[in-house]
Amino acid sequence: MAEPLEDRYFGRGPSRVAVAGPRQARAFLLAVAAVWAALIAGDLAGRLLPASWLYNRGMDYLVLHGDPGRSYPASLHLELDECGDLLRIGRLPPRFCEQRRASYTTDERGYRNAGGSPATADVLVFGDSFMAGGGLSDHQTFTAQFARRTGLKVYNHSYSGSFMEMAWAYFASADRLAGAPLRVIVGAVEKTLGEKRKEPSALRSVSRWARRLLDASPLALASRASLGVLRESLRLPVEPANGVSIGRLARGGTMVLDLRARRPAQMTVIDDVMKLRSMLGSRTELVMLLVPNKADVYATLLSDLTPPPAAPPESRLDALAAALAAHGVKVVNLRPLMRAEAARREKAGNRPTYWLDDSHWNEAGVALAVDEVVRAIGASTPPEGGGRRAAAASGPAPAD
Amino acid sequence: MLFNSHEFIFLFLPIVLASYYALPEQGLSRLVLLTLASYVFYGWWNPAFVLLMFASSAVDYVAGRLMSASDDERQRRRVLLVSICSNLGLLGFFKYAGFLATSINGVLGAVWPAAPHLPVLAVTLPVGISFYTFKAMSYTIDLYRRVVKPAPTPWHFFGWVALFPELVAGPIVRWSQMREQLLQREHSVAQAARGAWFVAIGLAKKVLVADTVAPLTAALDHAPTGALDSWVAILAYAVQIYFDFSGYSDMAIGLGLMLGFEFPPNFDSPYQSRSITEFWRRWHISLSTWLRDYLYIPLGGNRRGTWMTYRNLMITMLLGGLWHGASWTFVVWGAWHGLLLSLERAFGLSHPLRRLPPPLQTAATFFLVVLGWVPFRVADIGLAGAHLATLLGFGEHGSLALGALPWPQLAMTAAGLAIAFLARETWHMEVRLQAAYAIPVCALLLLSLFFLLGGSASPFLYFQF
Repeated sequence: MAEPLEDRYFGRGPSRVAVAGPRQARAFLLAVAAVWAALIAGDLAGRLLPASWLYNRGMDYLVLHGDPGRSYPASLHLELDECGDLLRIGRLPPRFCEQRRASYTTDERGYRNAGGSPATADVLVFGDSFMAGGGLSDHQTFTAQFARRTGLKVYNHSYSGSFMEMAWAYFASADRLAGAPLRVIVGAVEKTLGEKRKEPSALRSVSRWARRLLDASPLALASRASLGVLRESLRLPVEPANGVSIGRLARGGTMVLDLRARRPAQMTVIDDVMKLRSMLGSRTELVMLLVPNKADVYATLLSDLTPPPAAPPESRLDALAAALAAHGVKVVNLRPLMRAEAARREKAGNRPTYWLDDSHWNEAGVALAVDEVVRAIGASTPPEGGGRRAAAASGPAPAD
Repeated sequence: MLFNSHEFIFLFLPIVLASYYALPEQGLSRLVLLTLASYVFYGWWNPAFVLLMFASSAVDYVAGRLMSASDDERQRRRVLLVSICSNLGLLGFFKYAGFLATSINGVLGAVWPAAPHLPVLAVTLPVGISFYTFKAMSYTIDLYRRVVKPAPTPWHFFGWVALFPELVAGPIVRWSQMREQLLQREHSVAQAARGAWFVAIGLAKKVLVADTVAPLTAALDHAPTGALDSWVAILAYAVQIYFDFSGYSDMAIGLGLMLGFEFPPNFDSPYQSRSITEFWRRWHISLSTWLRDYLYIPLGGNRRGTWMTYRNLMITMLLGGLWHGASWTFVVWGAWHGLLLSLERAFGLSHPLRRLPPPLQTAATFFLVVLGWVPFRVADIGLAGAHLATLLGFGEHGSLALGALPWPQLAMTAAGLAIAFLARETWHMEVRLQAAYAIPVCALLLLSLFFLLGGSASPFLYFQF
């Protein structure tokens, strides 16, 4: 090893990429740096545009501008024409969008309610984006429909991606526990069950802040849109990305499915539920609402799934529901109902219960769930007959 | 964080460069900034792995201090052993534990069906671990051999191991090449201008070529449908892997230049080689020279007789194959190249291919390399065999529906091959940068960004559910 390593390694000689002279190098570098700086400045300045231009989903705006992992931005009202989340995840062109106009209103606590307070509600609702109403207008959310149906004061305390954490955090205070309503509903879609929310760390909050900044990049949005137009005009075949598949409905039209959502629920869910139950004690009834993944409901009903799933979607909801019931928890498992209803509607050529382009349910799916919960708990009258009834239900009146 | 990501180009890089040049050139402040920034860069994926890299670097740094402080050969050897075991142990645990357990279970299950199964741990592979452990080993081994001086301060060592331009995908830049530069390097407008050129070319190679042709290789995920389909897929893969990896290396070199570092070239138009031996001098140079200096030569190299040379070549290539990933397909790939290298050595100058005209020698070498890419790319050996048989005409010939194939991807594959065969490697391009060159460089940057941002699904959405 007498010979220095460098001699052999650099034997190829220095790079021939050189500069014509210091002045030329400076001009070159300045020009490149100026273009780069202009891009960054333009991208930042573009964020001053109205949210309805920058977001094709109100829920994205809510998640990105709230207190990460805890609440949406407070006292917000947003109205926009939106498409589904799977459109962006699957990088699909705009023609797959099921265009709809949606309004998103939050209260001063940063949750989706037109008014009211968790302290005075008859029913408190926790859970994930299905409960918070991703893709749904204010009057279509689970809480709004449930309040209208029962006449109870219902408070929506759910937040995208959360399952039990929000409820644990809420009832961690003794005051709130003492003032707990008679009924607490916690709902989640199968893929959110058993997901553990990562505790915020300094590094993670920096990274979240950066993601928030980058996710609504006008430059990225413009690039996505123009690339979509380019691909469409070149008639390039559509290749859904990131585990997303497209299938055909019996009545015609296409539905987009997220086939990554195969993660079966973990059985730690039972411990999580029991923890809340023991916090609440016997005075408050806990109702668990289990929602099946869209892929679990629709994968077998669609024809020509492209790309075909690597494996058929699995579900552990039924086993989980049975196990929870065996622990004495009141469970509403929507899986049998949603699957049967989807099959029935497919046969009759009726509208599905999930959005065509989104992983969430639509207002028809929510209505089914509300019916099922009301049936399960007999909720036209609150338990023990002493609820805090009110005429003003949570959520504004229906538009139609 | 990846170089071809929004957050790197729009956030990390401008902040790091601005702070770097705002700090004084004298003293350690710029190195401290680079070290901290590199840890943030690495922690972006998974903050826990930052601790792993720190701990691994700490062992090697202390080993280096102990070795340079001691004249007792036996103690120095013991310390070196600790460092090597720590690096190989980490690599072994994170990269190969699952593979080893699965393989042992397979063999045991075949001879003794009732055998108890070893638990197969599902370990997440820390990004770049293969690169930084190899870098760190070059430090302690060279110190043991007394061919380099130790790091003067921990900042020099930790900063070098974590240096973000070459942290996750090389080049594997050794301490011997970096020590002087870490102590003192020249920052100039000319260097930074050259850096911008390398970054623009590298980004374009990755985003415009490699990412465009990538969907064509999907045919290698399934059983072969026909010879033509397999050929299109494997040629697209040959283009993808070269443009992806050399593009990433170019970006590393360019980012290094912007920070005053001169990294060595990692590629030298490898597909223009006229033999496999030459290919390995031009492909992933930092890995092949690492393997040569720390594995092949210590094994005896070619100085212990013909058969020992073949054995050493084979061991080096098998381990080199396994370095790429824990799977039997990489072992097969390594064996294929080991065999070809041994054959070339056995034939020497009377090599049958040597009598062909040079373009045919290049074509024949490329053909052999492409056959090697089959096991490198596919998921298992059975699939590799099926595709190889199909490629060589022993299967369905297939009727490639050219109309159904996306023509931009096919055109880009053809363009990529043309560039790989005819053009010079970025390192060797004869350019003298002047103001007018800003136009093509900015055009490449804008076009790459357009495809990069337009093609990316919002990363945030994965965390939303």
